[in-house]
This record gives sequence, C-alpha cells and structure tokens, in this order.
Amino acid sequence: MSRFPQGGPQTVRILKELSKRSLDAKKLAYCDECGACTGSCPVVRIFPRHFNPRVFFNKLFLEFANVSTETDLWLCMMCYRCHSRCPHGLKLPEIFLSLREMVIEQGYLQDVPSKLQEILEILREEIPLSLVYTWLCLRPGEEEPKRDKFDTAILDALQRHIMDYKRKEVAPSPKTTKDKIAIIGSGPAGLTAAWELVRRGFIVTVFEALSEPGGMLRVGIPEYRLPKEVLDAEIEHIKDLGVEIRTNTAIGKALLFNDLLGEERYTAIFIATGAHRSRKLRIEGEDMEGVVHALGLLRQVNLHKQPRLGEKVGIVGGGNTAMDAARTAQRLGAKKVNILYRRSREEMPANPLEVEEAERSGVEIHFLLTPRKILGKNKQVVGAECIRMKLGSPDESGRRRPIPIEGSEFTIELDTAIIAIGESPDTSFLPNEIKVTEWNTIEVDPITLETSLPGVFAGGDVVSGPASVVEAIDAGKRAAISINRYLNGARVKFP
Amino acid sequence: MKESGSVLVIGGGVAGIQAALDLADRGFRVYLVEETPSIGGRMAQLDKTFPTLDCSICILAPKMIECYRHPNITLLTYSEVEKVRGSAGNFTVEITRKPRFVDEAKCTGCGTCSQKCPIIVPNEFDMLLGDRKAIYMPLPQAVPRVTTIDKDSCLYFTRSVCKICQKLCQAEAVDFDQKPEKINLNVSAIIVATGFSLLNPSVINEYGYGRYKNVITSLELERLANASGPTGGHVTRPSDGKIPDKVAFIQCVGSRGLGRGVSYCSSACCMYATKEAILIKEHKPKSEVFIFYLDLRASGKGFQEFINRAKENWGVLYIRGRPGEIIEDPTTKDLIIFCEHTVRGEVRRLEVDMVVLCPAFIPRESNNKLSEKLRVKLDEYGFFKAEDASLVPVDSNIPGIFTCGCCQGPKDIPESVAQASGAAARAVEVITLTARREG
Amino acid sequence: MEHRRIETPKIGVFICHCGINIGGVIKVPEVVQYAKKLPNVVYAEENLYTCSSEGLSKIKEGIQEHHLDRVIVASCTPRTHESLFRATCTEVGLNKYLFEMANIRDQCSWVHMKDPEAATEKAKDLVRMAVAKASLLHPQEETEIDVIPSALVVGGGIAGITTALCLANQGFSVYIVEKEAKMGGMLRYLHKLYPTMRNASEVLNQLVNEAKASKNIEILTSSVVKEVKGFIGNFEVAIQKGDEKTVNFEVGTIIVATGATDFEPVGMYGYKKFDNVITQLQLEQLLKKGRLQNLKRVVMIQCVGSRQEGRSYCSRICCMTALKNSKLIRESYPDANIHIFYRDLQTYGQEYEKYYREVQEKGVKFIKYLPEKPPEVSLGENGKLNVNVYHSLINKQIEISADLVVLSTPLIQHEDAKELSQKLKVPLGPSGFFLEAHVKLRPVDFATDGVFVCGSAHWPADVGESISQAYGAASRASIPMSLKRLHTEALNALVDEEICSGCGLCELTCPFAAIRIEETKKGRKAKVIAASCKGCGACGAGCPQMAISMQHFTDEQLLAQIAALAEVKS
Repeated sequence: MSRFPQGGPQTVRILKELSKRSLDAKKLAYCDECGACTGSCPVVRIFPRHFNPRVFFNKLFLEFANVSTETDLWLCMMCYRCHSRCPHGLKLPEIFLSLREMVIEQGYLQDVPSKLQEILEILREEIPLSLVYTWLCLRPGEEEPKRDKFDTAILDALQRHIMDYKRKEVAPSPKTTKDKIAIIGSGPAGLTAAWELVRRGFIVTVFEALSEPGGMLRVGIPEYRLPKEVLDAEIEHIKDLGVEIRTNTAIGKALLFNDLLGEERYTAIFIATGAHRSRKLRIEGEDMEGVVHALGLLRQVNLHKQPRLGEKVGIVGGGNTAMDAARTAQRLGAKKVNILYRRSREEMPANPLEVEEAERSGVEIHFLLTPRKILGKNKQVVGAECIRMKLGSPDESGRRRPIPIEGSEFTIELDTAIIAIGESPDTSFLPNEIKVTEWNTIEVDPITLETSLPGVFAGGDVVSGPASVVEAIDAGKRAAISINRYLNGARVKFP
Repeated sequence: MKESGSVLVIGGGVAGIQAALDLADRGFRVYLVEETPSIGGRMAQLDKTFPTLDCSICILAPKMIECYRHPNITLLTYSEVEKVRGSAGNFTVEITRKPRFVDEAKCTGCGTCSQKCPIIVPNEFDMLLGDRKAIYMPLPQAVPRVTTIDKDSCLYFTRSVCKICQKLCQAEAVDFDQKPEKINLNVSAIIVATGFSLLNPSVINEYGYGRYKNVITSLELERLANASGPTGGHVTRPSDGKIPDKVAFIQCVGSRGLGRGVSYCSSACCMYATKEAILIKEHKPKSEVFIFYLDLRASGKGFQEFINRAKENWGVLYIRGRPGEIIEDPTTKDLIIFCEHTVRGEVRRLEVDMVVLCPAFIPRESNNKLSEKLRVKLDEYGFFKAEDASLVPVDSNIPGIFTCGCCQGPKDIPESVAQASGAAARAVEVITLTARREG
Repeated sequence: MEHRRIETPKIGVFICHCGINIGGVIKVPEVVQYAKKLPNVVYAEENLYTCSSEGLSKIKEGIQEHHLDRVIVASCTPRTHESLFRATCTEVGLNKYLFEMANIRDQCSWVHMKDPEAATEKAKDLVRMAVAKASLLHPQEETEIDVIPSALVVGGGIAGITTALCLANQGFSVYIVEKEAKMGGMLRYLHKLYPTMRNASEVLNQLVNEAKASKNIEILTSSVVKEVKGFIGNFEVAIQKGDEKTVNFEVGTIIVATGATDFEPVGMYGYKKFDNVITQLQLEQLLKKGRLQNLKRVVMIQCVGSRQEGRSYCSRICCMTALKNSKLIRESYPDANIHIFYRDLQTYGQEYEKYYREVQEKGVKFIKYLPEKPPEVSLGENGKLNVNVYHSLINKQIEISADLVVLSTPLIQHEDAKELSQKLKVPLGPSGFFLEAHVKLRPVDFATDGVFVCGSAHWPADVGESISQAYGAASRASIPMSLKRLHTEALNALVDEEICSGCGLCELTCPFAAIRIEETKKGRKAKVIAASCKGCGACGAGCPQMAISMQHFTDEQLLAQIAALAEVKS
C-alpha cells in the first residue's frame, strides 16, 4: 500500500518546477485518464510491462510516484502519436523530455549510469537496437541550448555501453531448424525481425540494396541525430549472432523476388524495404538543376558525400524529413533556409519537437503557401512562384484541406529547392500475387503482417508509409512472431 | 393585419412541436416554421427511445399529426425565417417558403410521383444510407404528407426533360413554376427550437470514419435498425451486408477534449449507445457488444437501472477507455481497435465487425445567421445562450424570444419536452404582460 | 344491459384507392361490389382519395342523397384521418360517433403487398366487420365541464415558487402549500449555486418576495394537503394548517413540487462515529456560516448510498455539488489538498463540463474507485482520519489522511410522499419519485388529468432543471385553466347501477382516478367521472358483475364484429 504522498516533497518540487518549464505539464491537470495515449503508443506494444504513459503521469500528478526512479520515464521514443490522439492535445513527449532533463540536471537522479544500465537491460530483452533506441530517445547533445549536465551524463554513460558492446564477444545463436528466412531491407524493421528469428534458431539472410546496412537509420537520419558509430556497433552485434547481411543486393535487380522462394529455397520472406521514393511536386521546372529531393540529399550526406547547395535554400513540405533536410542544409553552409508548407502549423505532420529545434537553429517556416512553378535561368533554379493558401473543410485524413487563393501569387528567390513532400515505397520488384494499395504500400493482415502471398510478410514503412523507428521495430517483432508460427505449422493468426 | 396573441416557433423537432401544441391548445395562434420538407426532427430519425425502448416515430407521429390538424397551428415547412423586427409583444417576421414545386393543398401524398420518378439520390433522412427519388417524402410518416421536388437532382431542372411526375399526378399538384413565397407575420413572442447537428467524426481521423466502410455513426445505426430504414430494420454492416457478430461503440468521439472537436459532453450518448447496444442484442442475441466510455452518464430517471439491465440481462460489455486507434483488415474489412482497458491497466487489441461512433452534438451551422436575425446571443460554442441558464433557463437576451431543447445545448428528449412547455409558458407570460400593459 | 332498439340502419361505405397505396394491391371495385351486398348497406362507392376535398364532398352527398345514418370509410389509419371524416359527417348533421373506419391500407395492402388476392379478401373481411359494428353504433354526446382557473402548488421550494409565479403572472390564482414554517425548500440549506456561484439565499429571497408580493398567490406555510376530492377542473382541496385549522378551497389543477430530501448515511464511512465525517449538505452549512477550520486535506466520497443494492439510481446533482464545494474550499484555502473519490463523474452538457475543467485547474484531484472495492475511513493515531482506497486507474491501494471527509449522498423521496400520492391518486415510481404519464413525451404530466409534477419530486434536479420543469408544468396546467371549459370524447365507461354491487374493484383498477364508489339511494355504486375517464376499459374488464361497458366499444358491438369475422364467407 502507498501512503500519501509516496513521492514526497521531492515529487512536489519536481511537479512545481515542471509546470514552470512546460505549459503542457500544467495541462496534465485536465487528463481524464482516457488511455488514448497508452492505447496508441507503439512503445507500450513492445514493452507492455514497463511502459504506460497514462499511469505514469497519473501517479506523478497524484504525487504517488518517485518520478526519478520509474523506468517509464526513460522509454518514450517521442513519436508524438499520443499527442495526435490525446483529446486535450497534450505533448507528453515534451513533458518526458523536460522531466528527464530535470531529474539529471537538478541531481534528483544521482547514478545515471546504473539507471541507463537498467533501461538498456529492459530494452535488450525485447529489441536489438537498444543503443540506437536510447540515443534517439534521449537525444544527447542535440538540444539547443546545450544541456551540459544532462548531455555529459548521458553521453558518458552511453559511450561506455558502446565500448562494452564492441568489446563483448557474442556467440552465434545455435541453428535449430533448417528453415531459411529472407529479409528484404536492413532498416529497423528488418534488423529487428532478423534478430528475433536468428535467436529462435532460424537461418536468416538480410538483403540490402545499398552499400551499407541500416536503412533509414543510416541514410535518413542525419549524423547529428544518430552517430554512425552507434548504429555500426548494433549491426555488428546482430551479425555476430549469425545473421548474414548481403549489401549491394537489391531484390529485383541482383536477385529476383521469385528466386528467393524458388532456387534460393527460402521458406519465408519478410519485406521491410521502407519508403525511399520521394514524391514529386508535379509542377513546372521540377527537373531543373538545383532541385533536389530531401531523401536524396540526406542519403548523400549520410554516405559521406558532400553535395553542393546554394546560399538560399527553400524546402517544400512539413514533415520530419523536411526538418532534417533544413538542418542538414544549414550544416552544408546554406545562409538562408526557408520551409514552405501549404497548411498551418497545426496540421504539420512533423514532430513538434523537430519543428521547434529547426526554428531555434534559424530555419524560417512559412505557412499556407505552396510553389506553383520553379523558376530558372539556363536550366538553373533562381526562384519559385508561390501562391498563398487558405484552409477549407477537413479532408479524409481529418486535416483541413488547403485551397489556393487565386491572385495571391508572388515569387521568391532560391538557389536550391528541396522537395520533401513525402515518401512512398517502391514495390515494383514484387510479384503480382502480392497485393499493393493505391498508395503503393503493401496490403497485409494488420495483425499477422502476412501479405496476400502465404509465407510472405511485410512490415514497417513499406506497409504503413513513412512512420517512426519504434513503429518499424514493433512491426519487425510482430513479423518475427508470425513467421515463427508459420514455420512451426501453427495458425498464423491467433486470437 | 395585426394578430395579437400569436407565437412563432422556429424548428419542427420534438421541442418545437411540444411548444407549438401547448400554445395552440391554450388558444394562441402558432406559426411553426421548419426548414426541411417535414416536421419531426431528430426524434423522427431514431429507431427506439431509452429507457423504455418505445418506438420513436410511433410515439412522435401522433404529435406531428396533431400539429398538422390543429386549427390554431399554421405549419410552414420547407420555410426559413428571413427577417425579424420589433420587440416583445410585437415582432414582425418575414418568412420565405421555398418552392417545393408541389402544391401542398392539392397533393394527397399518394406517392405515385415518387414511384415513377427516374432519379435516385441518397436520402438525407436515412443519413445517406438509403435512397430517395428527386420527388420525395423524406419519411413515410412525413407531415405534411406531401412530396417535394429536389431541384438539384430533378431531371426537369437539371436538363429540362422528364416531367413524368407532373404527367402522372392525378391531383395536378406538381407545379414546376412555383416561386419562393414571402410571408409576413406579426407575432408577440418567438420560440427558437432549432435543435443540433452532429460532428463529422472524420475529424478524429484515427477512427477511420469515411475511410473504413464498417465504421458508422450512431445516427446511421438508428436508421439501419429502423424497420422503415434503408435495410428494412436489419442491422447489417455496410461493407458486405453481413449481420455483425461483434460491435463496438465509442463514446465522446470529438467531445470532452480541449484539443480536436468540442470540449463539452453531449449528455445523451451514454444512454443512447446503451439502447443501441440492446437493439443489436435484440436483433442478434449471440452478438458481442462493447461500449468504450469515460464516465457513464446515466443520471436521468431509470437510466442507471437501464445500464444495469444492459450489463446483467443483455451482457453488454463496458470498457473504460478511449481507443487509441482503429485499423481495418483490408481483406475482411473487420476492424481492430487498439485500446487501453484503463480499469485493468491492460493494453488490448479488440477485433470487431463494426464500430459505431457516438459523435459530439454540435450547434447547427445556421445558428450564426439566425442569431443575427434575432439579435439573440450564442454561447462560446455556438449554441443559443440562455440569459441566465440556472434562473431563467428558457429566456434569451432579447425579451420575448425564448429558446428550448438542443439549440441551447445537448439534452435528452424529456428535458427538451419539459423545456419546450416551459418556453411556451414564458411566451404566454410575455403576451399576458404586454396585453396588460397595453390595455 | 338495456337494449336500445334502433330502426334499420342505412349504411354507406366509401372505399379509398389511396392512389396506388391501396388500389395498387387490392381490387377496390370488387370490395365495393362486395360491400353493397352486406346487410344494411344502402350505398357503396370507390374514391381515388376519400380524404381529398372531392372525396369528402362525396361523403356529404352520400349522406344527404341516400339518407345515410352510418358512414364507413375503408382507407388508411384512424390515427391520422378519423377526425377529418368525423368532422365531415358532423358538417351535414350526422353525429360523429356514427362514423366507423376500416384500415385496409396498413392492415391489408401494405402488409400483404405480395399477395393481392389475400389482401383483397382480408379487406372484405374488415369491411364486413365494420358494417357489423356500424349497425350497432349509437350517437353520443360529449360531456363538458367547467374548469376553475386556479391552481394548487404543493411545495414551496424553487420549483413550486417558480411554477406559481409563472401561473400568477398569467392571471391565474395560485395556492402554495408548504409544510415547513418557512418557504424555500432545499435552497434554504444551500450556500452557493452552481454554476453561477450566486448565493442561494439571495436567489431564494428574491423569488419568495415576488411570490409574497403577487396578489394572485396565496401562501400557506406549516400546511399539508389533508384531502383532495374531485377531478380536473374541479378539485376540492382541504388543507391542514398547523394543528387545528382546516382550509378548504377549490382549484382546477394541482402541481406537485414537493422536492426531495437528502439521504443520511448513518453507519457508512464512519459517519456519526468520527467527528469530521460529514455530508455535503452539512458542508454547505459550514461553508455558509464560514465555520471551517483551516483545512489541509479534504476527501470527498461520491455515490454514498446510491448506485448500489437497494438504491440503484444515480442522484444526478451530487457530482456537481462536490465540484462546487471543492472549488469553494480551494478558493478559501488555496493550500488545501482535495481528493474526490468518484465512480462516474456527471458533468454533462456544456456548462458543467466546463466547470469540471475549472475545478481540475484549481488542482482538485480525482480518484476513480470501484463499488466492489469501496474506500474505508478510519481514525489514525494522530487523531486524523485515514482514507484507504483502491485507485482503480493506477491499480493501487492507497491511503490518504484527511482533516475532513465529506460524503455525497443522494436525494431521496420524502417519507410522506406515499400519503400525498394516494391522496392525489398519482403513482410513485420504483425509486420512490413521482411517476409521470410518459417518460419521454409527457415528463411533467401525470396520467391523472389536471395533476402535474416538477422539480426533484419527479427526479433529482438542480436549480436550472427544476425551473425549466416548473415552467413546463405551468404551461401544461395553464391549458385547461385558460380554456375554462373542457369537453371530452364520449368514449367513457358506463356503469349499469342495477348490476353494480359497489365492490370498488373498478376504483382500484382505474389508472386515471376516473371512477369512484359513492353512496346512492340504491346503496354503494360506482360512478364514472366523465372528465377524467379515458375509455381505456380497465374497469370494464375487471368488473366481476359485468356491470361496466365502454361506450362506442360495447360488448355487443365487439361481439358483432367477431361474429362477422367468423361468418362463413358466401
């Protein structure tokens, strides 16, 4: 039984300070405990025993919890799904972030390394990418202004774990079956499934089209958000367990999909190729020199190339990729970086935290406008003709539809235009038996992730369209469970 | 012509009907204005009513007919209030009767025209789930029992052909040349009873309304359950016409939130969802029915007992929690609800055949215009504001203008009816007082 | 029963095509030919629409040309069209009770749409039955009664005063009977009113003063209803004022506005055992008098004595009361920690939900408990109260110490309500509250004509709701009083005094208090109060002597119909 108040004066102090830091923490008073946050959280699906944001905040609010010791505090992955579901629009990720900073900076949490150790152990039980997860989750060194004590404490602790990882000898998992599983794509979904399946005794091969494994973790997330060193350490670990990763092996080119099931004798396939194809604006001038696609830009930078950008950069779009592209452009030397978004701030799909960070680092975001035409001289971009928009009634996605205001056209000067209006999967390599939706994503059973072709499963961005890392990890886990059931002759679908 | 002792009632739902009947029974002349072709309002759309499970239209229809037959009531359907001037005891009102292209005096409601009309369009009365013709009666029990031509879909108006209804009408009631008609009235008091709308739940996009066929609204379910509705009373799911085995209701869709939708509670949903759950069980006793709720609001007469019956006798399962999202199985069109059972602290994945959303009651879009015409204030949400909700709950800020029913905010039927009678009483007080002052 | 002989009737039958509604299925001409051959039928015809102006003049012509003394229309439902056809008969001098209807649309062409043959045969059956009944119809006269334009309001709380003022302002005279020495009812004990936070006493004083100043209102305090006799329009009321005096007067209508009282939770959660466990109503008093000590921790427990075995209902007003009082406490003692243990919060509508948000902002905390694991209150060593509860939403047993525990108890019916209900011949429902005529569409009417209900006597209601209903009851009561004369349909029960044994079973059975045993020269006999009788037939069905028949639905008429149905078709 807890005696009131279990959290004691410390929790009261933390709460008071927290409400000064975050407006949303004050709004916690409005929480009706509806559970929409927990019900939609992908982290809860992976760690149901360790994470329940609703209960965590309720305990905090009621002063029943000793906040700094609860493991829940360290698991939120900032996907902002709860924010979009919360009836009061609470930004729980930001409260988590403020709380974490507070407990370290104010010294409520003394022993950071052992706390991290504890968290990593919880993570390692369920997922392979525990360091990547923690890095993306705690964002060391990324926030502006720099959080000295926090960043130092976290970086120190994490660095030590990375070293541990590298040092540790990992024995390969014993192979207990003859079943061979092919995983197409080495992003978070593919790697998670590979890790799960290799530990279950299967023979697992991961096919990667690019020269280095990691998928979006490698080519989509800039170095300043996730150092390659962290990713490499984890991938090494997975390889050590016995997973074979074949890079530069694009299915459909190097090897045909049907060959996997045929000559290559794979008994199950997991498609986790992500969504790497940039959507086009379909306007005049899009093919000119100086128009680049955000993902292409990020990929080049991540694969250690130095693309040349102009001084005046305009980015079209309002998602996370647009934010990453904007901050990457700054790092590549652009003087003026503008984001053009056709709806208002409220409808922006990007993580509010990323938006804030981008703005803080000097990126200017212009709402309710869209380019109509890219203007050029001698095939080189010099600007864009834009038109202002207004919001109409909600469309199918529930967001208000942007409508151009005729006669409001104006031009802006640009050296480089970066298109970041979304990504879609490339499913051209798939056989016809695998059903694809009108958005070019793969149609699967939402629970088992099995495609219309028995034995073939799909998950991650190739099914959902662009989503968060943690959702990809969840998909990888679920696919592994289904594949295991499938190969063991059980009904794939379970009640 | 000056008529003393007459009242304008705006809105022909159950509140407007009750106010009109009370006043007419007392001997006052009442003008009952309704913008759609028939009076009846929301209550006419419902299948049954809680907690007695009375057939809704069966208990309402006699009142509708009484309005039609009452010597003191002038029914002005398919009409709108244009202008209002004057003050308590002496308002002048301009009303436009929209052309229905059918002579109300001649039409006998035989339905031959509708039967032969070649144009089929979705019926608004059936929440677009069923069809009607371009010349139509919105419901079989329509009052007045006359047809109306929908100009936007009629072949004659869109392509200058057809006129088949006119040829077949033995009463010679079809009149394509009908023009809007202006009527000027002089009334002593005005009662506003324009009711409410429902929020389009696609705003809460994670529930997939509009994207997933088997996610429907509660009012759509009422039409599906109704014997005169689009499926003849069979509760079937839209994707394949199958009678669902597992149905989940979600409460507070777009309400009780400070973010999307509206912040207030719609008052009636816990009860009507329970009623609809029982209807589904009645139609198919073996089906499983779940209701996701936050607080069960069952504070009316016999309501808690009704919920107890739903739980104990019918086996309706109540889950406290707001689902986080719904996804559709692309092959079966079944739905998977991701939710937390908050009382158990348990994260669940519930697979069902059909989901029924209970969307927020919202103010009518026309409230803004009407409030300007009447100079009556709206509250911060857009409902008609009572001058003092607790002490004079039916008085508006303008003396002589009263409000009742759901145009003031969400309410259940008995509250609307009691308030409508109350508004009638206040209107009589005004008439009596002005008469005393003048004479 | 007296057998009134009538001369051979002359019946006219009008059969409606209703466009295609009937004519599209039933062979109407065939039914017309059939009707012509039936006994006493002297005329039959078909109409495209009998209800059209053309059809109606055909009826009138028929009556005049063929000297018809009975008219039958075979068409749609009497619910919508009977009064129209009756009025048409009356226009040419035929008593409206000599009209009969057969519903061959709903009962034949609609339900047997796919079997025209059978539908036509059934239409013939219905017409034959109507003819059999029509032959035995009698002209009836409708009763008229005078209505005394004054009302009795029982109860001088907010609902009673409001309804009285509303009626008084319309010119009716009103008696308010209040059993307490002072007017005001429940509001006398309240501090502030939600959501306006106005002082209850101010609101009340203003209304009481208005009522006292009204020359149309007579207030009788310390008074109770002793006896009520009569019926709508003419109730004879006897009021017991104080100990000895009886006041008698007559009224046309009665409104029950007796309110409710609060449940005393003796033996629950340490109430009456520990000093600092009180009810919300007691808290109101303390707040009103400013007698609260400096509060640090307050716990409020909702649904104490309600929503459980024995008292299953939700009392509607307690959640808002708790919210209001916790807000008041937080305003006076900003440091006070308040926890509200609730089951389901009843903050319905716009205003109350908004109020709830304001209370959340003030830092009041909410803990959902389960009825199967209720809180426990005990006395700690330091003399403070300990409240132990299972927090159902964080799955944890917790303990909170408190200076004050406030129990939210439901409103319950007064003990003497049963007596009043018997005197007024109006029922109480299963939860003890007065039971209205129809839960949906007649919320302030009783089934007994001329008696109405409003406020918490009907169901727990807050001030705004009580006032809405009070106006509503005023409206309903004003209708008969303003018409001054009522006439009722002549579908009454008829007592054959020769046979009646005066057993009184009918008086007990009648749901409308419309039949009463009276002493006559021939002994105790049942007497029908025409103004109240709805012709439902309950008394007739129950009468062991078969002394009661229903006018217009006599046994003779019904048996004739049945016989006609059973007749072998020739």
